[in-house]
Amino acid sequence: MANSRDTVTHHAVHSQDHRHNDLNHRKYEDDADVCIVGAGAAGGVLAYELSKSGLKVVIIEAGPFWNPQTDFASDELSMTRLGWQDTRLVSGNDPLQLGHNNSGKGVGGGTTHFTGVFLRFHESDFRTRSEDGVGEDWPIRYEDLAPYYDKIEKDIAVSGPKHFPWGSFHGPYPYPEREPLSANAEIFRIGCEKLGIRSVVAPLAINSAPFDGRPPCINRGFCNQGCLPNAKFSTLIHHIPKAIQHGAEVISDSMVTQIQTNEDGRVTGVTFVHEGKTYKQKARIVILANFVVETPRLLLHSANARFPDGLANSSGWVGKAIMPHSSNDVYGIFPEEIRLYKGTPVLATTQDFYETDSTRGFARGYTLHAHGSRPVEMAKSISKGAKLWGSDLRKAMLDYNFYGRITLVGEVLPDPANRVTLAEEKDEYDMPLAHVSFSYGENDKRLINHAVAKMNEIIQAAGGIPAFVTDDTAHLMGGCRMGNDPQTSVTNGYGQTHDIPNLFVAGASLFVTSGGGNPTNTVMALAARTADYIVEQSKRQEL
Amino acid sequence: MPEYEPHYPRFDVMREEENWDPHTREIVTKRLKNESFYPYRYLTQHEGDTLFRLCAILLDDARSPVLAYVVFHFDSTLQAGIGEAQRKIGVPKQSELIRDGLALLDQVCTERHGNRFISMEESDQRRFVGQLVRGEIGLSSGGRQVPVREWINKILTEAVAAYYSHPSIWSEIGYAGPAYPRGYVRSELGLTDPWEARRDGK
Ligand SMILES: Cc1cc2nc3c(=O)[nH]c(=O)nc-3n(C[C@H](O)[C@H](O)[C@H](O)COP(=O)(O)OP(=O)(O)OC[C@H]3O[C@@H](n4cnc5c(N)ncnc54)[C@H](O)[C@@H]3O)c2cc1C
Ligand code: SF4
Repeated sequence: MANSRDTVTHHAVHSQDHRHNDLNHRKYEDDADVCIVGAGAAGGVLAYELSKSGLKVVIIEAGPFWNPQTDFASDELSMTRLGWQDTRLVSGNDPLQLGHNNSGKGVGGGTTHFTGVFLRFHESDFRTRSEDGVGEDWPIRYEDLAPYYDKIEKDIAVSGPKHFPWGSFHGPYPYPEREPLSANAEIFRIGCEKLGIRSVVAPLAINSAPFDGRPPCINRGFCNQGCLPNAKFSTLIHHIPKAIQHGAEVISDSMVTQIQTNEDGRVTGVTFVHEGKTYKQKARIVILANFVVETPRLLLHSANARFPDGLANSSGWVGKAIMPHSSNDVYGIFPEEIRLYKGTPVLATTQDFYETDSTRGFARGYTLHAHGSRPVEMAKSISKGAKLWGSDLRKAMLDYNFYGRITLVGEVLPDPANRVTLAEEKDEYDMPLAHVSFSYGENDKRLINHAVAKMNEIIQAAGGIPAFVTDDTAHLMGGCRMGNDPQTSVTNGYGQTHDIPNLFVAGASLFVTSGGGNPTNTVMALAARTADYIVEQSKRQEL
Repeated sequence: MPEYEPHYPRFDVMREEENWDPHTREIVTKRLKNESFYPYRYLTQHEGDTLFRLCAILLDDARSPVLAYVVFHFDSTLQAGIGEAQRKIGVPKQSELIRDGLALLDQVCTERHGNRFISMEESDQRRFVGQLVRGEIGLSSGGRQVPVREWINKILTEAVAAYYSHPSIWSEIGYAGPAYPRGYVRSELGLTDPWEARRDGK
């Protein structure tokens, strides 16, 4: 919702010298080179890289252009509005919790309220079929992304340990690791050490020292409510303003409802709705960077006579094989105060359980984080499904300050039955709601059980008593996976759709497997690689 | 109701409001302005009263200023008509679910206890809510029904979100609340910044 007091938020068109609250002064209405749908993690990177290369870029974003100082607050309840709150229908054995839990809305997308944990995938993540006989191999390898991981981490000054013991990248990170830690991160590291588990200070897209005119983090703990001091990276404060300086135009508060194609089967632009009125944006290239649920929804809804099953869907894979991470939490109670509200939520991490270990009875693995929590999040999660209520809940929450918490980020194997389809019910734009179906598989459940047992052990080793285990998921990936085979994937290894050469997909929806760690470094590295590809192809007039 | 013994009986998070950024202060102080909660914009008075009792039992706290805010949260959420983020297939829309569930609650209570929910004895109310939570009683009457688990979970989740957003509850549990612009300097084990709740009396 636009904030009427604010000069940034209540405008709809944002370009280098102008902000307008109507759509009569658009910069590239008829001659944009690139139209990007969604100004989140991937959309932000693409907007920046492509405008820097001289292309005329328009970014259309469904939500507002937030002003952190006047729109964000140190408050959980009011900041749920940073999430995509519009209703989606859910089903399956393990129906997903969406909204603030995993989907962002507004310039910055999920990065405005993400936790800032910034990890790379491991080599094995791109080869799960060859190595472990599960999931599917990606059409690219770790080496293809490595230079882009380097670039993104440098661009936003990721802070992290001198030595990172897992995967292929061992540090050092561009900026030193964060200090001081929170008590919750300290007890996690104590527990790990007692058990011989290696742990590190988490690599974070959060300043450990001043960078690019932004101050270091002040440990206030509200990363999931939007960072008021701008210490945490988001594309809202990093890539988008820079893209605007390079000539890009951002159209906010505007929902893209249709992708247009011509008789040659190429994309010509998009239709979007701003304050109830419909507009068109023409472009030579369209990039869908609108996340795991909305990208398939838009492709399916854009079906026409030539593409009756939806755009880019000759394989039938649009919407299929979406994956969250399993993200169960274990709360343990300690004799001393931990105060979960203090400090950046995730400050310590282990990936000792990341790779497949055949003795464990399941394929693939997971990351564990020491993970802070504010009261609403904790009370909602321990009371979920009315497991705890009345005096039991109230008593537990009176001890709020004595709890510590560890959270799982577990790999979930792709299953085509877990998917996004169109529902009967329509929204305010007359678009069918997304129907999101999800059930865990056997391997996923065994992984969760193993991780919960480990989290319990760590809490005990640190002197705590495990008290509550809550089932939860985090992040979303897949739904428009990349691949070499046009029959079983939606795009090639650059995100270019197999069916329509000037239509691209970017962002988390491209993921072939989920990996066992937080995804956004990979989302942004993939986007930077797509940007290079588009620039190259444009130079050679191939797009 | 059991006796509760908070660890920080003298801590008051509002003592620090001058140190919060204006946007946060505005949001949080509104939760204390009980007179601004009425009249309800979506709920009827009776629905509001019923939610009040129901939430008092689900949260095991009947203190009026806090509960009034919890009910106001329902009223403003339903009035705003913002999305539900997710809704299970087959479950009615949030507004219908809550409203129809409250109506059916009264009907089932009348059939079983001869009274609408708010007019029942408190002990009967408590027993009844326990049975609803455990799924021992359905909410159906006269050919109409509401999925009772979904209904009670929705009410509990929203009630919990509002209750643990109230500054009086923050004070009670020793949560130091908003933290901008000052942040935390002493974040490590055993350390507290001067404005945080301390067991030794602050
Ligand atoms: C609470 C939370 C914590 C997280 N913590 C971490 C973490 O610590 N580390 C990590 O790596 N990842 C984390 N993530 C995940 C991270 O936010 C996502 O991986 C990332 O944002 C995905 O990037 P994206 O570009 O694919 O989509 P998004 O960033 O979600 O951007 C999509 C954008 O598209 C817009 N959009 C959608 N449909 C339309 C349309 N039709 N028209 C116009 N615009 C549209 C949306 O409004 C949104 O702004 C977290 C996420 C959440 C919610
Ligand atoms: S903990 Fe740091 S990075 Fe997170 S919101 Fe607060 S100041 Fe920003």
